[in-house]
Formats: sequence, structure tokens, C-alpha cells
Amino acid sequence: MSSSSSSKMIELRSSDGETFHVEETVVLQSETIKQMIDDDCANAAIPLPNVTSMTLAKVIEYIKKHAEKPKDDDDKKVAEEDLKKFDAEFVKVDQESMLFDLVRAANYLNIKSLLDLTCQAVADSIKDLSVEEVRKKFNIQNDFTPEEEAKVRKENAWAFD
Amino acid sequence: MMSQTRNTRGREKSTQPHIVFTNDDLLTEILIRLPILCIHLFTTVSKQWRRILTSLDFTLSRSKIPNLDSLAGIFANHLRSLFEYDFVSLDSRLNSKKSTMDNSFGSAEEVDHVRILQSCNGLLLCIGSAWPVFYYVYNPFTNLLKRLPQPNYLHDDSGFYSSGVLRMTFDPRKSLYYKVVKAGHTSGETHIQIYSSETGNWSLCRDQQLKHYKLNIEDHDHPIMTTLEIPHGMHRGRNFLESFGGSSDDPILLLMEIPHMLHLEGKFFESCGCLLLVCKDDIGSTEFTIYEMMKGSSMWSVRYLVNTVELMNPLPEGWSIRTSVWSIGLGEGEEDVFW
Repeated sequence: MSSSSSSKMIELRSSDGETFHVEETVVLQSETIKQMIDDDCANAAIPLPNVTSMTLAKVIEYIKKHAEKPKDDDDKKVAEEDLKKFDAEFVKVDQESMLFDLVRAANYLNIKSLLDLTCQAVADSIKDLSVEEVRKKFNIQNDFTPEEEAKVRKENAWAFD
Repeated sequence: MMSQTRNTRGREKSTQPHIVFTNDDLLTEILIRLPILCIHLFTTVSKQWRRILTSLDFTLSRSKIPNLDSLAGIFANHLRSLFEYDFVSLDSRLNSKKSTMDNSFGSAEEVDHVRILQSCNGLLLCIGSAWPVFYYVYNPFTNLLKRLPQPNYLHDDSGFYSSGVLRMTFDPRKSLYYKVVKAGHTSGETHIQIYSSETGNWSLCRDQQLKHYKLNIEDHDHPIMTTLEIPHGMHRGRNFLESFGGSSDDPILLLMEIPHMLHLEGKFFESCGCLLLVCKDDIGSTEFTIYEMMKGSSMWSVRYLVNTVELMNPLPEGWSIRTSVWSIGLGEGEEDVFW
């Protein structure tokens, strides 16, 4: 059972040199790659210098799932539910750095739905944190001078008092 | 051989958030998905966060994303005083406290004992307790206060403290000016007047007679939307409510039929482009119905049947609470909230 002979295969090369073969119909979800194909720049393997093989494998898993077409209306509802579940599971990654890898990859490859999904996941992971916890978690420097900080705190006095 | 390709991962792991967070565009994409409380709190994280969170573009982009802001806390009105509030925090990052708005704005003497009628995108619409009645628009952020000039029709017989007859609309994304709509009754006739902070004047928007109507709400696409209280025991056959929208002083009039005639109490809300109507069949009833109407539609459909008995269950025997629906927010999926 050779996978759909009708669709053209596109070759993608990750930053660490691994190649992936993906159907053109699937890979068109990436606006960046679509543009390359439209410009006829996709005859050889497309190099993706910003995306590692680990991340690219995840991205391909995502776009493959999202390329599945439901057969009829009944199937459509089931498929929508299924896709929601898939998305929820998809962003439950072991390593938080993978989530950020995916944000960058989705941005670079210009896959809007994946960017929405991953950014929401990052937002969800910080929405209950305090300011200190946010700084600590992401190693962000507090670059306010004491005077500036006092001013900002005063503006937000309703929240801090 | 295969394993060689993975040897850079360790170093990248520690820097990935950094790479994303130093990119303004990507950081914005993440921050616009935060609840409104975080947007305020996180302005103190760093200069970069502050710059992004307080920019106009940020507010604009955020408004295009469906966000459900969870409740940060509630203002509880004191039983003995109309003018004192306690803030009860529902978020561990905020402290519960007595409101500082217990008496006045802390400035002019005349502004004593005000009551908040409405909060709208950062501005508060307040009413004074003295006679003659004055309305105030207060910006808590800048601590600036504006007393509105007296409306044209002073002597109306609508309730003194009735919040239903006055509504403010302010959307800084569209205009830096706010408007206040006042619907007043004089012997059965309703006058709709609009105050614009641009002109500094009240203007009568329509001299057409509107009978039996009160109350208004706001709608994102129609800056001023007025809907009206269901009249008690009036024409049983045909009750209508009307709404006003549009940015000019000539509001659009919309006629909609109310789903049932028997409902005694009704309130209107707007959320996510839906108009919601809450109906209670009987005073003191533990059940109410929430109807919804999609934008552009003229059909009501039942969204929820709510029974408040379960809410009362945790209370000790003999206790009761008075319930009232104050606000409803539609969310995606199961996330709808009402309060």
C-alpha cells in the first residue's frame, strides 16, 4: 500500500541534516513552504535551518493530523472533536523547551493554527504566576531602576496595595 | 552515527524561551492570550514586557482574540451603606480590601457619596447622592474626574438611583471620546439623550416617543446599545424591546420581540456578539432562563435553563441568599460564566 500515489512528495531538511518526506497537500499548511513551492524553489530538498529534526517531526505530526479530511457531515463532527483532543495532547510536551521550539517553528514556517495553539499553551503556563515567578521561570532580568519600579508600582497601586 | 545529529540539543534547551522572549512579535503572540489581570500585573516584569503590554497595537490585537477573562474578584456592597464596597479577591495575587471609594474621589468636597453605575474600559460612570443629581466620569488610573453638565430633561420620574437609565460607552481602540446615554421618563414618554465628551454637550437623539422602555447595554460593534426593561404587566400580547447602536448621534433603532410574555423579570447582556436575555418567571423563583440571539439574527433560542437551588445547598439550613444575574460571558465550549 504505497501512500497516495497522486500527491507529490516534498522533501524537507532539518537544521541537523535529517530529511523528511511529506505530501505536498499536507505541507501546504505552511505558508512559508507554500510560497517556496509557488516560486518553484522546491525541486530539491527544502532546507529549514531554524528547525531541528525533533521539532520538525512534531510539526509534521501536527500538519498530517490537520490535513485529514472527514468523509461526510457526521464524520466531520467526530473529526472536530478528535482534532480538539489531539491539539490538547499535542501541547502537553515533556520538555518546556519543546513548546518554545514549536512556537519558533510555527512562526518560521508560518502555520497560523499551530502558532495559535502553542502560544496559547505558553500563555496558559504563565497565567497563574506572580511577576517574580515569571522572571525566575524564564530568566528575565528586572531592568527597571528602583525609581522606575516605584513609579510602575504606583500606577498599579490598585493591584499591589 | 545517528546520534551525532542530536548533540546540540542540550545547549538549545536553556536558551529557547530566551530566543522566543527576545522576539517582540513572538512575545506579543503569547501575551495577547493572557487574561486581563495578567496584562496589568505583568507590566512590572521588565521594560520590554511593559512596552508591549501598554502599546495600543497590543490592545488592538488582543481584542481580535476570543478571551475569557476569569473573575479576579467581586465588589461587595455594604448592607447598610450604598457607598461602601469591599473588594473580595478571588485571585491569590490580589488582596481583598475595603474599597477606597467609600465616600468620594478624595478631591472636591462637593463630590461626596458617589455610587458607581458602570465600569467601561477603564472609566467609571458615577452618580452623586446630592440634589440636584450630577453624573461623574472618573478615571481611576489618572485620578481625574469630570462632572457632566446637567441633561436637558431634568425632571424625569425614573428612579433616582436607577442604573438602568444611564449608560456610558468608551472604546479607546476606536475613539478617545466617550459617550453617555441617558434614557429618562416624563409622563410615560422616554427621552434618549446622548452626552459626548467631544462636544461637551447633551443632545436629544430622537424626539420620537418611546414608551415603556428603559435600560441599556453596550456592544462592541455598536458603541451604544440600549435595550429595555420588560415592562411589568403591560400589553400582554406584544412586548418589544428596542436597541440603539451606531456611533453617531442618530442611533439605529432595532425592534425585537421578547420570547415569552409571562416572564416577570428580564435583563439583557451582550457577549461575543450574542445578545443574551435572562428571564425569570416569578419573583423569588429559583429558576431562570437564558435566551440568546446571534448578531444579525432575529430569533431567540434557549441557551440555558438555570436553577439556583444547587447554589444554595452548601448554605446552612435556614439561610438564603438573594440571587441576581449581574453579568454573563460566553466562552468557547463549556466555559460560559455568569454571575
